[in-house]
Amino acid sequence: MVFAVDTPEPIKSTLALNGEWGHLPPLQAVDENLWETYHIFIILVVGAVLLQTGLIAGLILERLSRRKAEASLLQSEERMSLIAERVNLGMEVWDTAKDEIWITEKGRALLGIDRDARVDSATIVARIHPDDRAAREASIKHAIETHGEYSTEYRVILPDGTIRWIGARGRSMNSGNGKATRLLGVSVDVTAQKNAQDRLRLVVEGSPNGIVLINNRGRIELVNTEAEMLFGYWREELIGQPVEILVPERFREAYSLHRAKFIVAPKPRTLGAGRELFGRRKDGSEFPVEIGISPIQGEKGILILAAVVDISARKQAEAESRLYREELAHLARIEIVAEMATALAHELNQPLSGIMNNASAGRRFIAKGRADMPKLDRLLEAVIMDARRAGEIIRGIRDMVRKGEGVRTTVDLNHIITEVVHFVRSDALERHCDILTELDPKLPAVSANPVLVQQVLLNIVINAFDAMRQTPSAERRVIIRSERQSDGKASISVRDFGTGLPAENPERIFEPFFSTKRDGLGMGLSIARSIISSHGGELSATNAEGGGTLVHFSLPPVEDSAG
Amino acid sequence: MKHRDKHVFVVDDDKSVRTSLATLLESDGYSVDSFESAAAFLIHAPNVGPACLVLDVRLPGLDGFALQRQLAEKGRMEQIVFITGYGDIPMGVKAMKHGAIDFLPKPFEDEALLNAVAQAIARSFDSWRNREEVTEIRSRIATLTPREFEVFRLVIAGLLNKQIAAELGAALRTIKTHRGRVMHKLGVQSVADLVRLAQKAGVSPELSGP
Repeated sequence: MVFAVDTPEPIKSTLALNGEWGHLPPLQAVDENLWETYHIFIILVVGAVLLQTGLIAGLILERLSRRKAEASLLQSEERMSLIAERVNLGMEVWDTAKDEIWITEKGRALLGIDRDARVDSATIVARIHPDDRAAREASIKHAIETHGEYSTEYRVILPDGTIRWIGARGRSMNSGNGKATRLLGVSVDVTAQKNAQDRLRLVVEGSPNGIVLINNRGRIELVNTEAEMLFGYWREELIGQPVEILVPERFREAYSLHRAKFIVAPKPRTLGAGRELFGRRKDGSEFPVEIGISPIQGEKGILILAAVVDISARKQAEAESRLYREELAHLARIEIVAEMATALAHELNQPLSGIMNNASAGRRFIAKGRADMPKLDRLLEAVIMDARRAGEIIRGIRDMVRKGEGVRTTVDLNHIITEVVHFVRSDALERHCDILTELDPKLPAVSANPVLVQQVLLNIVINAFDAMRQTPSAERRVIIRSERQSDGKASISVRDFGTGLPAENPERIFEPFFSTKRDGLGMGLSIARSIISSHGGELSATNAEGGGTLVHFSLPPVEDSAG
Repeated sequence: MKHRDKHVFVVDDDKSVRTSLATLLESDGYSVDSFESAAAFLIHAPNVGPACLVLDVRLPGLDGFALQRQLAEKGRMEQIVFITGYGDIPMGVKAMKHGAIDFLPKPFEDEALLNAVAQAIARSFDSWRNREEVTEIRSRIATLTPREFEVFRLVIAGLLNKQIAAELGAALRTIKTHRGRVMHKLGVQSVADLVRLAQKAGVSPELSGP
């Protein structure tokens, strides 16, 4: 190509002058001026030749060095691939420009690709679970763009349909021209690990307890579904938040202190056994909880794993069973009274029958004139015997009852009020009636039979309910107040907003068999008054200011009645 | 059999009730046997005739209702007046349903008891008399020949002599003779009496074929 260069213009013109016209300058002058005239041309020609040669050499050299580099790269790749095979790593090199992927046998096996098949990016993508393709793609793209590394996990669907989890890492190799041409990657089967993680996740998610993982700064790291349900938050709202948002405000300070202590001396334990613990929902409501906490050594220090159980249902069940037991005990008492009354009636009916029969017979004998003195004397003797027997029966029962009254203990009347309120709660609900208590914490203890006093109070409260049948339900309430009287006695009053006492002779309500209730026996208040007076106290009832009845009783404090 | 027409049995486990009841009943002219249990009554008063039994409901061992049932099964004629210290309405209804004369809660007025006892004895005699009568009628029916019995059943079925003759394939005169003997042997004057008697004895009319 160099020799094909056209003859330079000055040479052409010189030849033409010498050949065709004789009047050209002398040849000497021509020889003398050849270098002068053509040196630029010569330099250009030589330069061009040199340049071409240099270029050719350069090209040859470059090709040689590239071959050498490729050979060493291939060698190192082979070495690496050998190591990789040993540790069950698959390796691949992706030439992005040609979209050719060189992949080790292990790599093929991991992806379920035949030994000899040509592999390009589509071959690999086709193996990958459709749900995982986008994430993998993005990760790799990012690595290419930043000439950095990638790390991704994806599922591979093997030809037989089984799913394998692959963990893949790699880096983009910069070819120097600013465009990544190669991507070097390793992949490993992480199915077992994934399954274990899944199981763990399932265990945590499926736990019937709310699980909250807290870091050493008291921030929430992890919660499960149950915890979301318990506290009414979404997990996004909880992660990173201080755990105190799950604790009612009044407990927060104490809680933080406990947590600090726990971090110092971490030991698994259960909170809430023996005392009431509460959780706070997003809406501010509270619920009783039991919390098991255990320390977990994490990468960034101790984590606290808290398992939270909502014990509302258990608490309610306990309350219900307690109520049930109390009702049963109450019924049992009523049953005993009924049984006693029946037995008493039968026992008394026998001698009364005898008395009636004998007396009637006597009168008949007299009427018929067949009465003789010995006969009448026998009859009267039988009458006396029966009357005596009746008396003994009654005495026996009185002794029995007295034995019951004898069991006196030191009693906190506030406690009895609480019990009675608890006991009539269902009645009150049914009757749309509020029960309010105003308890004096300085109420003196009394010496009494708690069962009998409870019975008295119960009777008064039930009477109060009954008296408010006609009261509008908004006004239906019973106020039970305890108070230490100025004379030192413990006083209890029950106020209702019902019909009040009978206008004429209000004291009649204490008479036996007086009742304003259709199905009432009329014994309640009469018995209540005798119980209270047998305890050295007084029971009275008055019309309350503003309507309703105020029933009041007082009992002497322990010191007095002990004497 | 000598009719002890004013006899009363008392069964009550309470001695004072038992003896006072006996005294009361004696004051009204009854003779009284009293027992402290149902078993003692069954042993000492086997198959008595018409009588009144004043019976306590609650008794040790066999109770009042059980004794009532046993006596009914045996076809005994004592009419029962129950007395009880535990009386309630369902118990009283039960007693009355099973044929008791009265159910008196203790203690009771003397008049109430004595009325009930008088009524019980009256009813017991009625049923006794009724039973005696049936026995007597049946013994008379037993004297009929088989042919006469046949005629008897056809007569009470309302058939005329002529029809009976046709039914039995006998002469009218023969039937008339049989019929006369039936009336005579059974001691009745009219067909109406004959029907009543048949009913008492439990003889059903012969229903002739078409």
